[in-house]
Amino acid sequence: MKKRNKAMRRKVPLKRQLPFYIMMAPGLLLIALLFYCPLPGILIAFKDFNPNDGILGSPWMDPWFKNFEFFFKSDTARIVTFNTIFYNILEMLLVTLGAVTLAILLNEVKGKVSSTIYKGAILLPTFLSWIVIQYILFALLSVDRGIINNSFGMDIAWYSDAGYWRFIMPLAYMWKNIGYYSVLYMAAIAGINTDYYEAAQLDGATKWQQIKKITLPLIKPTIIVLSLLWVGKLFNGGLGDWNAFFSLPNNSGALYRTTDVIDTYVYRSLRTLGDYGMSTAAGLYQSLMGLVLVFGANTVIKKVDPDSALF
Amino acid sequence: MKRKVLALLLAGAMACSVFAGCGGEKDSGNDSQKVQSDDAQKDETKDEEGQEPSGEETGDIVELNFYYSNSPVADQDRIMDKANEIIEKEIGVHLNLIPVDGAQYAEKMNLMINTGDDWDLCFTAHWMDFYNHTAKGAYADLTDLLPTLAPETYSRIPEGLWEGVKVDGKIVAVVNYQQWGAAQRKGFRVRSDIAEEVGFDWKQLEDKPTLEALEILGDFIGKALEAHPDMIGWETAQGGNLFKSDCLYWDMDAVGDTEVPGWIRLDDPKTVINQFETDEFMEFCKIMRDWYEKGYVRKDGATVTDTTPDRTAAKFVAELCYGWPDSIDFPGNADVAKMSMCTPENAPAVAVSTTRTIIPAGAGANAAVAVNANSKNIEKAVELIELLNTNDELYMLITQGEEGVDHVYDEEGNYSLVDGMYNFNYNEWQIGQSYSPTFTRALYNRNEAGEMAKESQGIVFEADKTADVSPLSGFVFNSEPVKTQIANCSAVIDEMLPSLCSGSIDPEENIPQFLERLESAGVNDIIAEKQAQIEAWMN
Repeated sequence: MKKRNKAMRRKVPLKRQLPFYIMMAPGLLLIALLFYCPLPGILIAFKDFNPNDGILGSPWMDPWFKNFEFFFKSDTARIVTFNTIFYNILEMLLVTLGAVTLAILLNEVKGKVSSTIYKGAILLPTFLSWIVIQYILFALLSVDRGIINNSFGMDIAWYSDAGYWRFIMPLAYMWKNIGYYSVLYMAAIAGINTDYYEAAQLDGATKWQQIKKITLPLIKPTIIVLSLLWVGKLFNGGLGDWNAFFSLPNNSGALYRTTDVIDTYVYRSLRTLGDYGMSTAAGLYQSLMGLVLVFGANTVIKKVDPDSALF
Repeated sequence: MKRKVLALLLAGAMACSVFAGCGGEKDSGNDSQKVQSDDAQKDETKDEEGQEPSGEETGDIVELNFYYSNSPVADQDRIMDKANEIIEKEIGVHLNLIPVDGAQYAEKMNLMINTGDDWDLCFTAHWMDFYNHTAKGAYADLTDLLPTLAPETYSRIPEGLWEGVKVDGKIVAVVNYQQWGAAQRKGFRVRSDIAEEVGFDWKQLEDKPTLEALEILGDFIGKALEAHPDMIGWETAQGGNLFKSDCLYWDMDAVGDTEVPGWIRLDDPKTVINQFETDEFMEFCKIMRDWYEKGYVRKDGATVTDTTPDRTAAKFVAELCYGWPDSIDFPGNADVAKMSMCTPENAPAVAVSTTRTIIPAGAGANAAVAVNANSKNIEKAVELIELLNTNDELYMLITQGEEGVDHVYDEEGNYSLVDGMYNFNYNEWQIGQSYSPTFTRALYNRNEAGEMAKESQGIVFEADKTADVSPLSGFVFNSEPVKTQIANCSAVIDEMLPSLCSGSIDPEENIPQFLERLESAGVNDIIAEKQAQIEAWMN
């Protein structure tokens, strides 16, 4: 099957592919500009960088790993690395599970008006920035004026007890992102040929059986691709979703143990220092971790379902 | 085939970025300069419509960009047009005074300096990366230029203050000597109406060590809150606390930046200590814990970033007071007779000093103006500094606007700023000296109160000449050898200090943990490095 695919692909002449390449060009250009052009900057991680001499002119660090010492000597290196991987995987699982469930449920809502309302309501949080969510959360959790503490008569210091945030962070993340992903899955479900369901109904299949035997297997490729795209997202530096981890805990030092990811830690400790070498070193480490994660996920998927693997 | 294309693309991308990487900063420098001067030209042509004949904008007038920290200033163009008329006539310079929002200023300057951006002058301070930037060689050496190009500025400032802006014996910034002097004497301020109501003798606080003073204040706050349950006893916030920057309250001074571990006791300046290991720190945190549990402070104190709303609503019963002379030494001092950000009507207060009088090590660099070492017009920049500091008309115009338009005097001689008009947001201290031997560089009420203000400032100026000078004056800590440790310690401190100092966590249990984590972050290396540098400097 795979072989035949490849063979077929080769036969298409370049001329006919050209329009597609042109359509791709802006995206490729953007990627080249944003992701490949800055690559030589990695050198800074091994240099005693100062802007007047430029990247190439600055002297090398001695020893070469000196810029990395900051990160690995701190007692937090392990914690933030763990947090980064932990939240990355947990949130991927939770959001995927939640979004697929929601998409299936919403698909069953037949009323036009109610379905639109539900979809809109679920999608809305996606458009809120994390800063706004930070304040919504603060209104809920503030110790003396928070809605939760006040309506349940509790006196929990949410912002001083790190333990709660292992749950709060993923919940908040789910709340914001689930709508967006469920829309993607709904589109996938809508693409399924209704003949399958009609045939199944004729054979007397229950709703549950239809979901299990038709819907899920048919959207499996979508699930895998979306999950793969997700992996490494938290390692994606400023472009990833680190904003959540930066703003939600409201800068409360007591929460850093469970809310700090590599990005936030590096940002906080090096922002005021203005040291390019150490920041780049930390960024490089982060990218490497992301790379490992992407390869790892791809290997797992290759074992489970070779056709869906990215490479 | 596909792979080849990709490889080519990659290689091309990398090559182009290498060029961009090293040539970039010069290019961008030129670019921004071009943009700047384009802007300026537009400005100028706009300016000159009603003034001088145009066509001279490329003549001898030199453009200088002066960055400082300020919120947006209303009507800035009107005032700057007038100011530039004076400056162009006097020294042939066109000044672009560029305000950067306070919250972003430090970062913005950091970035501009690191990227070699185009700027000529900037406001700087030891609490805003002054040492960091001097270590990078960002600021021009002004040692020889000042006496010749800015003699008046140079001679007005007490000798000791120049020590604070010297690095390796070179003056790298010009001290903005202020109307309120440089000597510090700190203390506390309490609401006078409430003190009277509950019968609290605030004068007993005078000259008490900080811990004792806090104990006494605690009793008062308790009584005050009983009478006014909606008030807050004491301000706690994430950003500020008595162990972050207020060394003087503990009779200590910081070696280098105040937030980094490693202070000295003023009585024993040769030994660097970790301020978080002291008994004072433990006792202070215990007091704050006690206050937290009694409800004297906000429960979310460790995360509050902005206390302005509480302050302006006159919520606080007692607070720190940096201003002096206090209400005992100089009963009429209007500057300290109200709580911070309040009016004498809604929050009348009395102040009492508790610390010694001292010119701290950082006093020189408390507010200063530096010149870009890469500026093409360093000499003109120094001339501009001199002009700003000696031309009272110009300085008053820029900082207070025009009399009768932006500020007015009522029939009793009290001045007030006109709402919605040009308003420098009280940031005049950033661009030059507000000190004047004849009191001509600030707004004073033209009546008895104004005279009193001058008298109280006179006391401070006198003290500046006689006060103790911090034993660390002139010492600059080079943080380079331990910057890794500093970065790691800062992370630990940011995490735990606000919670400890706002009472949100139990000090008995958490301080040992705090110290342990500091130790593994390398605090001992920092202390040892500071100790070594101080010893080398003293000998």
